[in-house]
Amino acid sequence: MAEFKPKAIAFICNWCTYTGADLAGTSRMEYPADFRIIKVPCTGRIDAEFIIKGFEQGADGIWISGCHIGDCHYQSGNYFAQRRWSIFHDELEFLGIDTRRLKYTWISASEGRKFADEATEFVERLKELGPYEDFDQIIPKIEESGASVGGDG
Amino acid sequence: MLGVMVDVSDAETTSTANATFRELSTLQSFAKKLLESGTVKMVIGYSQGYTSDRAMPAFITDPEKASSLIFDKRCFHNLTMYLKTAEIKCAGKIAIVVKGCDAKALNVLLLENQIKRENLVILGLVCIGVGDPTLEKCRICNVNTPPIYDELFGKPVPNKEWTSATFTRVKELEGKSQKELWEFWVNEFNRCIKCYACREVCPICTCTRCITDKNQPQWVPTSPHSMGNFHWNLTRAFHLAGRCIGCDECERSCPADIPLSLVNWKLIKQVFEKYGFIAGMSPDDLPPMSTYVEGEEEEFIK
Amino acid sequence: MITINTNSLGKLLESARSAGYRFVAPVRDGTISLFRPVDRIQEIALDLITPVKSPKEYFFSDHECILSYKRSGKSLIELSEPSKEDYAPPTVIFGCRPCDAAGPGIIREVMTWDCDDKFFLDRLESTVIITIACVEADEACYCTSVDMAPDSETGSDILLTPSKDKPGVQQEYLVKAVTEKGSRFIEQTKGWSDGTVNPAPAIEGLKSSMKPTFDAERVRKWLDTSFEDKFWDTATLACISCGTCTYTCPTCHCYDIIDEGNTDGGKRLRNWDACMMELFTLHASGHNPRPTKSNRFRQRLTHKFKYYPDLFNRILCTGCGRCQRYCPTDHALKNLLEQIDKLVSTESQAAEAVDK
Ligand code: SF4
Ligand code: SF4
Ligand code: SF4
Ligand code: SF4
Ligand code: FES
Repeated sequence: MAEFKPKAIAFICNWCTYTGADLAGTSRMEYPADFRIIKVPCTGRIDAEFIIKGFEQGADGIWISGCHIGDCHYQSGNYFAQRRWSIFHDELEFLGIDTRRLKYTWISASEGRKFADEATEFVERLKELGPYEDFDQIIPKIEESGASVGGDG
Repeated sequence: MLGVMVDVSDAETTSTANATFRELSTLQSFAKKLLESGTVKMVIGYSQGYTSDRAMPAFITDPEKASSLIFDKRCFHNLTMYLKTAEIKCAGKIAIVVKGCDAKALNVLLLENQIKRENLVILGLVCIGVGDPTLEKCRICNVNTPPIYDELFGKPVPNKEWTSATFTRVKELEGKSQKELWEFWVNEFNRCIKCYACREVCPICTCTRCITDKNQPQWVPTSPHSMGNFHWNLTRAFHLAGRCIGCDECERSCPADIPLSLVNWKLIKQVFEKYGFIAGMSPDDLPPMSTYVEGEEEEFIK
Repeated sequence: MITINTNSLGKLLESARSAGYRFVAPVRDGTISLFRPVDRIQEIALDLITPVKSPKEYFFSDHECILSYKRSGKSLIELSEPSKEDYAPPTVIFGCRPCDAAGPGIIREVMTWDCDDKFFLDRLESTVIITIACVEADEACYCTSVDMAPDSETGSDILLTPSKDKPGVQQEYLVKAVTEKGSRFIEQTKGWSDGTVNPAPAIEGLKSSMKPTFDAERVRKWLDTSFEDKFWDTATLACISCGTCTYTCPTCHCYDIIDEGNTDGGKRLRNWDACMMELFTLHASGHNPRPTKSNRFRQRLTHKFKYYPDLFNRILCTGCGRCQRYCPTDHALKNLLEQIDKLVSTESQAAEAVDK
């Protein structure tokens, strides 16, 4: 069997982590390319919807990263964000989401090394966890008629 | 079982079904006066329901009808949800009957500028439990005496304090494994039919257009399939983090009997444990999701 | 006429299943009740007046795929329609009450009106409805006010009439094939009947005690002229504008069509929708012809008691009482129909007094 290639999404803030990723790239550091980066203006922009939607679109893991506390380009975006994730993360755990598939980091523009290391760690972790089968079970399949024909409960 | 709220002094005439609130006649005559004097245009309270076992919301404008107000253990409805409806918003100054938990909703609505204090006469009731058997929210209630009112009916009782031991039902579930929890919730949410009674009945769900009704983009799938149901129930709950006052009206209204209160009380518990916050205790405290403390750092973010 | 007693219902289930039918019946699941395919007769809850959910979803599913697409190759899209075997398997719905059995037949009028709704019609065709007449009703029931009765045959293929006036107990049922399909089913699955004696049916008690609580014809006349009546605004204040009444109703049939998918593939789905929800009539322009809940409640009531009868000569309600029973604010149809009826009779009394 071919090696499992996880599908991961990274929502990262434009000002720090993205620049950090850029640094990792220009410094030719090696890190796996199994995740798709989605750049957002600030971690404060990352809605809980992004995480749910990510899993619905078939992601095996989701990584959220932004500026260190105190460094937010908009001053308080990450303060709000960390409270939001803190509560949201607990709720996800309570509802049975496999929270090992979520990763949160603060990575500054100068932390290219940290970016490469965290990226490697995350992809390795997802490889070990394998495909997110639990969630996949509730994603409607195109092949199935989808009609509950009653009795769906 | 219902203690001071129910007039059990008169045991012979008081079968459990029609046990009455001691201060009922005071409430009725106060409401009558408010209407007669023109202080308010309408009193929102409870009256006998359509079927004998239920109570229902009453919208009283005629002073003579004030005598139809009731209060007993069937009055679980949180009437403050009507304050978000267009009909009541344009009704002018009104009076509203609230239990402690309902009064919490008023505080949240005041905090979020959804209602005008000067347009409201709050008729607070001292309540030590509704439902038969007494509802879970009443068992752990910390507002038997309402946190906000203009006129109080009933003798105030000291309010209990919450500790993290309060949330027993949530804790029971927390003990389960991730797989068990997943199966439990997918199974529960599967029954959802997307009737949105949970949203409509919630006093704190005040958005004029709910995220699930927005389709550009369509964040929440509108279909009642497993995925759509999971998404909807998670989103509904999370939008109430730090705001839900735990009236459990959503669960009561859900025709599919999904244990929505567990989802909500998990949030209430986390917000309480992490930030020491209880929604609705005052009209001035900013909820934890709308504020922060300089320098605070969450450990789970590396 | 043949009979079957409670002990033999298992045999009925077995023979229906071996004849290739899915056997759907009322069951309890935790605190709610609904119609669900069952394997064993013990799963069935025969003592319910009606389950929370009606069997409507077996004809008109709460969400169903009506078309799907898949990208095949660079610029090719493959379209496919669900197959009849998938969406309309042979089904027996057992243990319906007459009010639930009547639902699909009433909806059929509109499902064949300007075009034929094949999903609905195929399912109706492949389903045998076996009804048990009622011996018990609650305060929310009102079949006798809408031209129905605890033993109405409308919509059933087979009607079982119990011999004792308590539901859920040991019964001797009189079996009547109401339709051709019903007779064929009995032929096809025979072997479960317990004889041909005539037990005395026990439904007369309920039939005679269930008096109509309003006059549907009188309500309809009032509706003709009362579109703008101020009654609507005050009487509907308690409604919270949710979908509980429409979604539990055996005759509500509005739907929404939506697309779910992306560039690689997806589905076109038909989902239930409800006239009680604000979004139902919202136009793209932002205008909403039914902006208030009184407008919406008026629509639901008038649709059922005037527009539908005007068009198809049948009331779009079977009196099952669900909307009354499960309304979170105890406010729904039966309550308002009675209020209207009362209003009309006081108005006409007043008019008479003036005449004199
Ligand atoms: S979410 Fe439920 S419990 Fe919380 S305030 Fe709204 S209706 Fe009450
Ligand atoms: S009230 Fe219950 S069934 Fe209705 S949308 Fe909410 S969770 Fe779903
Ligand atoms: S309108 Fe109400 S009583 Fe009539 S069929 Fe529908 S749910 Fe039943
Ligand atoms: S009548 Fe009752 S069930 Fe129907 S929309 Fe209004 S509140 Fe909901
Ligand atoms: S700009 Fe990076 S977290 Fe706000």
